[in-house]
Amino acid sequence: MDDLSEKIEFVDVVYAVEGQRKVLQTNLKHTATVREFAVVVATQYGLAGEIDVFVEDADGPLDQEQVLATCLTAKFKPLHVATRGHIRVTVEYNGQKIEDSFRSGATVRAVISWAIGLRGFNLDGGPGDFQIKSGQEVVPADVHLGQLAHGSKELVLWLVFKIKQQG
Amino acid sequence: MARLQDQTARLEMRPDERALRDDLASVEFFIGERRGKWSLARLDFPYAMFYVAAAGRPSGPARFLLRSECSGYRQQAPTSQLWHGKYDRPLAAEHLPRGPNGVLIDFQLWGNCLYHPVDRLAVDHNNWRQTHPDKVWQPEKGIVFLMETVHEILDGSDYLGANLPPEALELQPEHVEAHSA
Repeated sequence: MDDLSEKIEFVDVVYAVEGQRKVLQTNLKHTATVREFAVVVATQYGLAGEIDVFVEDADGPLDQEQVLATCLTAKFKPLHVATRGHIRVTVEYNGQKIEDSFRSGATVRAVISWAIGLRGFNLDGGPGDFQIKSGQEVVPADVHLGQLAHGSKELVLWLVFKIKQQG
Repeated sequence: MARLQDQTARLEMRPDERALRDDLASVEFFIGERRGKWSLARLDFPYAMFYVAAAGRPSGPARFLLRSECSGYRQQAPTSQLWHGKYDRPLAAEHLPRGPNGVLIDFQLWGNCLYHPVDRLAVDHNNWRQTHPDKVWQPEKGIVFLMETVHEILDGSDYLGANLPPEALELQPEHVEAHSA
């Protein structure tokens, strides 16, 4: 037998899981499908029902039959594993509220962009001038909504302007 | 054998160095590297040197070198400065990141540290612990918090560029080979 045929190659996968704040990393056989990956993660973290896998901030889930390695983007983006369904997000700012639905793998950065934009509060300044709070915590912009929602499909967040320290 | 040597070296390490090395090997730090936000340039404890990416500006470098003194990590916050790699000293005023009103306030020449609540030497200035609690180092916040803080400043809309000579990003050879987290 050809020695090369026995060589198993692995692919490095960085991913977040709905309800888990910590980002995870694993090595998978390069032939593993999206479905196989989803089953492993769902079993490990007790996710029940239909499971979707997303590339961060993607509009839709990955095809379950695709080889996962082929779905990894050239520009690094972690994956996100979640039960099916959108997260209903409410953002409050200066006593006003807006609502919309987002994929579980959407980032807080995407929410900020929406919230300050024309479909949101239509605020001056760029996304970097604002931040999101969940309770008392300022949430880093790279965090996925599913990581904040504790397994729920609803999330209430607060948009706040970044205040610089004074000289 | 090599693994046994590594384990022995870890046991002989100071707890603060061990904690920093653990955090530099964490998935959170790795993700920041993969996103192109920062990278470890050198670790010669208690000093760590990082490259921190800056937003693209017509006159500005792709990144800056940050030197952090990390003794007492994590209980004690690091104290950091933007650094000139070739001359192994803090960046001179003319090379610091600029904002609308001159040097960005976070990097203004004030003490030998960042002018920011995340810094060990600056945190007690101006009642910042009370007025900016979100920006203050907490022991449960690791090196990624410092990296996020500095990257966010250099990636923010206030940052307008810098006159940074390329050699400021060059580490001395002995520095480069000391990198092992």
